Amino acid sequence: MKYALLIHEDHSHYQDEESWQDIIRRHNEFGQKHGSAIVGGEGLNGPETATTLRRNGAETMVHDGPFAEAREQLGGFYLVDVPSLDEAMSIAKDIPLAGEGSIEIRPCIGED
Amino acid sequence: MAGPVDLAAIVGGKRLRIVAALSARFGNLDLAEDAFSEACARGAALTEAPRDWAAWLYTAASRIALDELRHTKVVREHRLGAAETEEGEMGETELIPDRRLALIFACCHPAIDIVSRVTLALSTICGFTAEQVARASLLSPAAVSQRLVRAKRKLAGGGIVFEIPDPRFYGERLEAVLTTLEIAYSRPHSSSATEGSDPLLARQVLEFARLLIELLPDEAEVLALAATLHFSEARRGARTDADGAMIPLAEQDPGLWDGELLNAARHCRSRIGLDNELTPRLIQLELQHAWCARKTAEDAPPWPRILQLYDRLLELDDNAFARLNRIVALERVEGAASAWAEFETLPAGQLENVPAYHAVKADLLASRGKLAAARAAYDAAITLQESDAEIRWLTAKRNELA
Repeated sequence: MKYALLIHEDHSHYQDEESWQDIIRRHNEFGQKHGSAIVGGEGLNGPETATTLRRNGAETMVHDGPFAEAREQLGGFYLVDVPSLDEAMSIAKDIPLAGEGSIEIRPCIGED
Repeated sequence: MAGPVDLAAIVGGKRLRIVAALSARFGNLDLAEDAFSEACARGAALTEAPRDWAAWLYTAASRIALDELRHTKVVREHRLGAAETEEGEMGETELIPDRRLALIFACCHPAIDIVSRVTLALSTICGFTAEQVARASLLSPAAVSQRLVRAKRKLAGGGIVFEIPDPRFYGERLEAVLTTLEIAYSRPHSSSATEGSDPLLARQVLEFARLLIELLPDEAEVLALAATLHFSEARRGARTDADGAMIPLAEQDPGLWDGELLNAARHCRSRIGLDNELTPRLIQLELQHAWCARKTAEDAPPWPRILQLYDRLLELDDNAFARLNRIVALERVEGAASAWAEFETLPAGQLENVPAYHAVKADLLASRGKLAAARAAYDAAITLQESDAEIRWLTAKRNELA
């Protein structure tokens, strides 16, 4: 079963080069450890680069910013393919974070 | 037809086995329970009773579930091969795969909110109706139904598999099962953690604990919890006086304890291997065992042993509640002065909303002759306390200080 591991954290942790390099290194280590389970994933540019389209019936409004204003924002995700939620939770526990943050685990809808 | 068939009575303890086998087979508890209900309805309309009701219901419910899956076009080819879909009438209950443990692990998965887990366990494992769960857990029937629907959706779509957990996750998963049982017994939000609640609920939870022993006969933590719950339940009849006021453990009349439940508790305890590492749950059991060793109302409470056990507990699990309980024993063993010195080191901020904190404080103040302060502390405890029996007891203690 595939799971999206959605990483929510405070983007301001990565403003300086040193912490940026550090988290990249840690994500590489994570990728090596769980490479066989990971089937996809990306890091995202900051929420200030987000554009949100809100549709209300036929009307579409463009919002300069993320879907919801919050200190912790979606900053990246992994897609893993594992047999159970236990495995997905175990992998999610290893995802590096610079400070506080959350990993939301969402099972993907299957093909059948 | 001779008359209405009481399938619930006929199927009895087999319900769980059938629902578990269906859940594991189809990976869907909701579907399993619906198919089982429908099979029961069809069974009740039969003119001639089948040779083996459980086997008949399992076969009928399997067919109903398959029809439902075909109807909703979500038949997963890999799970429902041709051989499985074309089975004949089964004759023997024993042929129903025993997947009860897998179902218990699934319903008590740590990714399900603890209150929902308790609700699901009471409903699916113990067979309570939503109304019974509501009455036992102090939630509204609507809240119970909503929690059940959400939890079952998560079970169906969240990747919680109906299998015995992998050894890497086994410890954590078993802990989640045991916590669910503990909270189901003591009722969520209860301040008197092991004192139990509704008698019907308590009986069902004990049965759940016994089932868990049957399925995991060598697990020390399971035996320890089952023994603790049996000890606690054995004292039900001695916990309140004729006016409905609580009688503290140390003052209870052992003649009013239930001998059968005590024996069951001691039997569980005797099955625990001596080479097991000491855990907080094993110490809790030893505390219960020590309390229940008194034979008559004249026997002195085992305070020195209780103090010793709380010392051991704090070595393993230092928390404010255990320290508060230890202080009660310390007062009886070493006197109010030592106990007060310890009391002053407690994290007051963490305990100020706990009625027992104020009750212990009141008792220590009274022992040291500070009656006005003691009365104020009893008042604080009475205000916070929700249990009628404990309010009556606290009020009586307060009034003794006149």
